Amino acid sequence: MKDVILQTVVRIFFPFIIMYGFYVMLYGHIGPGGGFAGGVIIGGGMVLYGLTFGVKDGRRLLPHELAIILESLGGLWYIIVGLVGFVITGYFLANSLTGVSMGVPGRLVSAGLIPLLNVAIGIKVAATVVSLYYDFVEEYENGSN
Amino acid sequence: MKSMGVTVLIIVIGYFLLNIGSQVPAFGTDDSPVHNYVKDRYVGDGVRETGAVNLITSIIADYRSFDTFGEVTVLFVAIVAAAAVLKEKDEVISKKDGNSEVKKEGPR
Repeated sequence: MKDVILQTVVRIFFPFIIMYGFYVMLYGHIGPGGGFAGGVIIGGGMVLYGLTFGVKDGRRLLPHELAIILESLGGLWYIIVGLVGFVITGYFLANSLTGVSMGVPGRLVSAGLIPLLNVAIGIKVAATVVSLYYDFVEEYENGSN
Repeated sequence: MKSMGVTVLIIVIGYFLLNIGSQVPAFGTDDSPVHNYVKDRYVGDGVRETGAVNLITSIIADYRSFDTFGEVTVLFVAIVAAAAVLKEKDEVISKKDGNSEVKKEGPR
């Protein structure tokens, strides 16, 4: 879509959308939100960028291969955080039992392993949305050739 | 004769469904069976046990972490399935003698 108004608005708003997604993701244990919501916001911002400036520019911003790697990495990260609890306490995905500093409730660094799990979920969801979008666009491009 | 059997079956199933529906507790009552000790545990001890002020997150990422792990797995399987269906790089040509030949396509 070569539309000047849309491109201008997206160029202004794109960093804020991504930043808001990371905010929702990182503050999931304090305010409303969490990994899923933040990941969908980040992925939606990437899809908006790709729709506005063309998929080639979108791929330059976040290559398809990198999206696939990030997606697997998010799932692996979740498992690794779960295994930390398993190794220390014997319970998979244990949080407060591991002896991690729980911090003061309401501060950003609190709640033990929950922010790490939220980041893992957020990265995974964002990468899933983006790579699904790339998959469908590539299918469309191949079909139209 | 066949429609008779279907009608009887519908009446029997409908009777039992209505019977079940009449015993569902009214919406919003606080003495319904779903409100058991679990909610008191979450609301009362959630912040102390998990450190998260947002109780929804403390349930999603701590008390019910296994469920979230399953959701992550579902996402992974979904994207793998979509990629497997959509990313068709090589075209397989079936021959009549049973052997199939893989035709490599050029760069896109």
